[in-house]
Amino acid sequence: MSPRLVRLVGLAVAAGGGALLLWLYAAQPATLAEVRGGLTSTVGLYRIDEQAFAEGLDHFRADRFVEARRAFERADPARRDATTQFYIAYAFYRQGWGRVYNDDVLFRAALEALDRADANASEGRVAVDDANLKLPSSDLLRAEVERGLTREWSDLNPLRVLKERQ
Amino acid sequence: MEPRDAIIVEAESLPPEPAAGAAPPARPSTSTPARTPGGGGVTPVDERRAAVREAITLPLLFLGAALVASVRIAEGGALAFSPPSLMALVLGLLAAGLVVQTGVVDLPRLASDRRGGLENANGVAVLLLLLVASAQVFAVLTPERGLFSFVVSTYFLLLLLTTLAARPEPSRVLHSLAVTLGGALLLKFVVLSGLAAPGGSLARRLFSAAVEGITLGALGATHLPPLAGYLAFAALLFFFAGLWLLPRRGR
Repeated sequence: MSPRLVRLVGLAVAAGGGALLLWLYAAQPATLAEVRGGLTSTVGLYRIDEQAFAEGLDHFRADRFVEARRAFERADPARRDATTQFYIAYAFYRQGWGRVYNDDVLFRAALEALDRADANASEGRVAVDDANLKLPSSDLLRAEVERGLTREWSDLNPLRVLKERQ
Repeated sequence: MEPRDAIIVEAESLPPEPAAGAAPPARPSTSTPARTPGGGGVTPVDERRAAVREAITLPLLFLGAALVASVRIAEGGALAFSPPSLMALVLGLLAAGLVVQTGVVDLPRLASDRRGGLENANGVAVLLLLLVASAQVFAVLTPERGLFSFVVSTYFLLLLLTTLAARPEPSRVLHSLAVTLGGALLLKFVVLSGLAAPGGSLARRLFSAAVEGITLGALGATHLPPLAGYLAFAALLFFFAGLWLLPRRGR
């Protein structure tokens, strides 16, 4: 290898390493899986585990939300897939929804998952084609979750018990 | 041989002056091994070795130091990648300045107008990565909060400023940095982390409580997982390996 080629390769390595450092500071991945997923998604090679996703979907449709989330997390360990994060958010919403009151902790977790979903979506929002969902986009789900977190007089309305889960 | 004859011989060995109007001869490109021990020219092997060191080895060592030193591990095992604080950047800049001023790195052998564009780009990359690695090393060795954070930062600052003023020999600078940073590693990852460790003997707990009491609770010691200490140690190794391999003045 000629010295000039060595220098060119070295320059590319230094630039790539610097970019990696900046990305790590900005993205703050919390696990090695997130680091790996972030790097592979940068070059368009990230793929979710389709089988785990299908399992998660089965659990989700059977209202087994904890199991569903676990399967979705397994499918998307790097939290880089917008659709999977959307379903995780939906699982948090459905588990936290109640006729009398909502679970704020689960609703906040839903918002965090929605943030991840929107951040990873190419258009900044997620829309899924699923007839079982009454809120098939991240915008609709976010509005519903935020309404659930807001304290207002209508919360005291007794007819609220007739409201349906979305 | 008379001195006058020696001058004549030396003048004859110089390259001829360019003729009026002729283009000046191209400046030789100087990479790290500008001089070979026997006074001969730069061999292709030397040139390739210098290129590998400047373009691959040094950037990788400083990148490794910066990367490893930026990792923070929480008790639960969660990772975080912490950019250097403003104070760490100032300390890193001072340390890089110290390294240049005292000749630990011979600056013209990394970046000068006698080198080619690509060589200068490699040299500048090394200098930038040296700065980032220095800042990250100071960041990882400084306690994150409490009284010791202030004390250790101030100690680093004063030490770097006094060393800059004294301008010691390059080998002494490396020695001094190794002792100082090694001491800081022990203080943060062995002494302070040990003081804040949960459990332990009654005597140790009484001693920690007494130290916290003496400092009015300002000690701010945090227990760190063992892996954090090993990572900081690895960062120091990378950093010093990089400093050692820099083209030194007079070497």
